[in-house]
Amino acid sequence: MKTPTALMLLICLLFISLSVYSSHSYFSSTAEVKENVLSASSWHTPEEAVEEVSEVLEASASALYQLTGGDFQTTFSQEDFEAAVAEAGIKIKQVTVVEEPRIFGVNGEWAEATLELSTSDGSSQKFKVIFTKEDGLWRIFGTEEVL
Amino acid sequence: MNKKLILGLAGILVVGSLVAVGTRAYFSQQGEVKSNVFSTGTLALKLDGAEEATSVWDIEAGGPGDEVSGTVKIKNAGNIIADHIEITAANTVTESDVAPGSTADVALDTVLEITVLTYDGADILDQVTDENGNGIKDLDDLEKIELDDLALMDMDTEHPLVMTIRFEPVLTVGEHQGDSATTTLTVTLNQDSSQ
Repeated sequence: MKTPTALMLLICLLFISLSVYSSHSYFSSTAEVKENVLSASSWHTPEEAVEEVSEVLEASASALYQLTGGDFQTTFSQEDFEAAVAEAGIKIKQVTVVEEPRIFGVNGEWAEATLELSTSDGSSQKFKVIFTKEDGLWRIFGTEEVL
Repeated sequence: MNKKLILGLAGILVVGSLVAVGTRAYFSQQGEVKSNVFSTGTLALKLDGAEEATSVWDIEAGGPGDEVSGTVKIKNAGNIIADHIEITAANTVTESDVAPGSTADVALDTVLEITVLTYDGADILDQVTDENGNGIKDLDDLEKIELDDLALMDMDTEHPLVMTIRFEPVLTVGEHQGDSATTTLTVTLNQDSSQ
């Protein structure tokens, strides 16, 4: 056999073997894990907590106290709190949300928002309000004056 | 009878005699190899012993931080040795009809964080990459990748896939209220490592 003929034959054989290799099929089997439904319910959000605080700040110290958390209420009784607010003589005219609430903490159990309180005498002051989540509700943990 | 025909007849007789000699010289016996059945084996993937599994990961009324953990047991119930499985996910997010859940800025499946993902007891969470860049590994990320080359080489032995999903407590916000995500995992058992 001449060399060119042998070479062509070799190439043909190579193509045939490649086509056999590439057409090799394997089995597979498929199954599904269906209908995994993850639904979110309604829950108390920090935004709602801020809104509630804003409303009661313009209302009464008693209502504001109800929005505080367990730690706060352990430290201050309702009577002491109401007395302190009355003694300060602060009358809130308007509450503005300066910074929307931001959730933080490893498990998202903390939130903070900045409110600006305007009083009837025309002055205003910003406060950072820290919230903590208790039994699914955001409660006031404490406040910090923003200078 | 002419000379050519005589020669032809002689030729036939010679061949005929040779055949006769040959037949007489060799005996033969025939037998049959019967019932050669060429049937294919099967790969038969079972999830929790059935053709499919349902509702392994369900949360009916979740909120930030709530989580669910589920296990699906995967096995080859066929009669061909397989090599590995691969898993893909498909999510369908349904927005709430009422505010604030009706806002669709951030899809719920992007805040459903996968906190635990193991196969046969080994951590495979590193196969899930943060495709959407939100800082967590979530169901949306799982939908964008493929879990592959999870060994399954024995037969009739269950291999547990464990996953824990939670509503990521910081990223799950008011707009997700009333939303839901339905996830389907598709598991494929492959015979060969090249698949």
